[in-house]
Amino acid sequence: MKRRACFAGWSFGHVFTAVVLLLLSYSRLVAASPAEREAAIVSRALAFERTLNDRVGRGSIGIAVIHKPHDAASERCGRDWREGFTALASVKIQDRNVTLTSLPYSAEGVGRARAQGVDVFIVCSGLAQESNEITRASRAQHILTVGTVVHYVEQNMSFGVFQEEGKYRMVVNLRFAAAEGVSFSSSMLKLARVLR
Amino acid sequence: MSRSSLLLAVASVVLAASPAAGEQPTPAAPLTVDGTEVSDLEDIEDASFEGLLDMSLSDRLGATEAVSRDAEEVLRAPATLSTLRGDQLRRSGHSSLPELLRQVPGVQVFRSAPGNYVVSIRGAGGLGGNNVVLTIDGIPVNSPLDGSVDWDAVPVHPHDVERIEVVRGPVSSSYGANAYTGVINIVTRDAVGISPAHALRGQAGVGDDGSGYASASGSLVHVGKRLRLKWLFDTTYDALNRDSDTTDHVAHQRAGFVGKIGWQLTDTDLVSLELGRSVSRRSSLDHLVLESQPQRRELLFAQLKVEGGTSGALKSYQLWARSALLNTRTDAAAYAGFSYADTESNRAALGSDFSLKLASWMDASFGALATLDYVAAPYVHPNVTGNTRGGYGGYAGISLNPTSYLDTRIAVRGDVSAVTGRLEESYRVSVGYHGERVGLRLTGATAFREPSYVEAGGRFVDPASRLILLEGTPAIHSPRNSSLELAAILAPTSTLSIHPVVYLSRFDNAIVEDFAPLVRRTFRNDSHPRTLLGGELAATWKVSESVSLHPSLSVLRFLSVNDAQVATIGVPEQNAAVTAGLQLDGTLADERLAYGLGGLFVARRDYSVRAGVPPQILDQGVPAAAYLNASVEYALLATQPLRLSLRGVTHAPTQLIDSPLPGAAPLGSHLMLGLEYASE
Repeated sequence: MKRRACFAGWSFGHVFTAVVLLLLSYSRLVAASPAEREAAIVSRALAFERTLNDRVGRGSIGIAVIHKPHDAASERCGRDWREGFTALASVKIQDRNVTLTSLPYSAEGVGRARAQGVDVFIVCSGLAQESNEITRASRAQHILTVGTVVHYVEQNMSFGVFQEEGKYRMVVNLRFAAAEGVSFSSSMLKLARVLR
Repeated sequence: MSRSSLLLAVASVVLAASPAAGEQPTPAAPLTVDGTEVSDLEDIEDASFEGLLDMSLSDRLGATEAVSRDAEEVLRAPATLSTLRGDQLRRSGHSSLPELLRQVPGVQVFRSAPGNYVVSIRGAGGLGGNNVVLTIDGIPVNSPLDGSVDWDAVPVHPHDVERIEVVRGPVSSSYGANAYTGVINIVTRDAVGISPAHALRGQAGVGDDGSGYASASGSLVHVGKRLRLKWLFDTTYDALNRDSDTTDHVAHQRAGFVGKIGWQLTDTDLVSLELGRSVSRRSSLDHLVLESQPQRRELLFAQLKVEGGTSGALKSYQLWARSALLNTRTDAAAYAGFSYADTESNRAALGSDFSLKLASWMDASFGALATLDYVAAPYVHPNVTGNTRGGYGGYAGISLNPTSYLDTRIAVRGDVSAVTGRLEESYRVSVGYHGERVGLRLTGATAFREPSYVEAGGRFVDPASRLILLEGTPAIHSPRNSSLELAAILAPTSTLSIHPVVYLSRFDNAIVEDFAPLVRRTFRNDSHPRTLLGGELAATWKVSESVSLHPSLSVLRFLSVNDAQVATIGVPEQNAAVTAGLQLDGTLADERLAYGLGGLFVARRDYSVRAGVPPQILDQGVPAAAYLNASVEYALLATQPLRLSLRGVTHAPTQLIDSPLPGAAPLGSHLMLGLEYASE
């Protein structure tokens, strides 16, 4: 008589099938949101930005997410980044709270950002033509620029977080960071791809 | 309802609830690092960078070329590798490379006089120091005469070292002769990432006996679009604790440089010329010469290399020509007997290495080399001295990766020794498993040591008595090391990695010294194998972003040995059965202040050997000891790259002599003050 493995009347095949189906249905829940991870990495990098105390003073850290008005992709980028930072709303950076602002791009808006308490620009996609104006304003006001497109960091912005070959990687442009009056610690730079 | 129907119904419900069927997106899982939700943290600093970047174990360990002489992930490297990084080296408090190596489990170091060190690995502790290959940027610099390493002549300051990679175990299948118990690769700094491009530093120190130390060193590195330049220089005067109760040693003095020029031919192909030169002076005290006289050594090494790679089947290639020349000069008339007077040795080599991608799951490598030796010394047989002798070798290897978490490496190599003219084979087989947080590797390997020109072709006639005091054995065979090793890498969190290793080694054909008649030193192979069991543990714990801990432990026990013979290597009593260390380093005040603190315990060693020509019996115990180090480095100005450092080393017992040679100098204690300007 052929023996078959079984439990409570269920054969091994039935149990195996049930397990596989359950795993399939839950597999989509494994990964964390890319926006939340990238926002967390930017926050972590800010924790090791050595001039942050001097630039921020006693207040909270102001982060402005700049997107291009009426550009669907840019607005979606802005929404994702705001959601990422909102998920970390209760987490402090260098013992400071974070104030998040949505900033539709305008030359006047970026020009008076410092007066509005902004310390960091998150520059969304779709602003390649406006990047020179943005970085002119950031260098004049000592605001750190975080580019969401790697080309921005290669061309004129200080910092970015990107997925390269399936892995998250920080990219730092030391020259542009220095122009913005920003200095990252060596322990952070060791984990980054550094552009000179 | 049948079981199959019930199963189908459940499946339908489950799939219907999935995003594919509905309009509601599946919510993302909360971002967690080391089991903690990031959104629940009070400060973002409580989450590690490595965790947030979702760095895999392989990412954290990085890559190396030191094990297989081809770029590979450390996680998949088929041998145990320890890496001492630039920060660890700077913050250790030590100012010499051999002293830094003590931190690595399984490595044994002793110092006989300033600049005069012997380094050995995994049970090969002896007096010759010729069981390890030392490479500088991949260029071997061992003495062609006897395979020993002249640490005093290495022209690199520890602060110009990017990292030191210590490969432990037999790796002749990658390196050929003398990678018998391991390889030490010194990688000099390069302007990659955040490494300073220019540095100039001075150090001055004082020993507890009033002796002095001074050094000046610096580096200049340029990486352009096509042109790459590197220039490192080091000058040292080291008289620290140089005198013993019975012997006044000369101070160690060295001047040297390493220069490299490279030209990027295409995006992937590079041609480079690297040159290193040093002149040094130190005490002559060693296992053949038991007198302390001033001895001058000159080291010159050079390598011309063309290297590159493609995205096709040819992953990488290297074509190279290199040479290492080591001369020793001393005043023979000042010695009562044997000396290394007027010794010249040169090894030139031509070689090629290729790495192929045969399939997505299979890589292969192969290469060949030809060598030409020139040795001239008054204590080498007239048939050997002044002649050139050739050797050659080739290797092939295959790497199978059937899945992302399993791999198998096989390597074979054959070398025809320039010294013996015999073919020596080396093998390595390795099987590895790599998970998210665990790596396991089982490796079996063999290696050989080439008999030295002294052991095979030595001949020294005492000018006074006309007696032959030293005679080589032409038919002597190469000692062999066969090892089976089980290694693991455990990373329970993103900031902690633990590396335990257990190995079983067997030394065959150990070269022993006979004395027949009693005054003549001759050599033969011991037919009795020596077997030893050892274990090593190294860990790195990033306690916080600014503090790291590096504990280490090694144990070693000989299982079988022939007590009647006196070998040049692998004598149990000559090896510390237990070593345990802890190094702490970190930064404060936005990295303006860097500090390091460390200690190492080394168990007792006993030597009962015959050394010198003519032989003397050395019956010497080296007590259990503690080696303690500390350093503090401070950036004088927040905006300018000027750093002041204070470094100190001491030992317990304070006047520890860890060399068995007669008249060896104590290690003592010393303090050093340094100033460095470094900028990008």
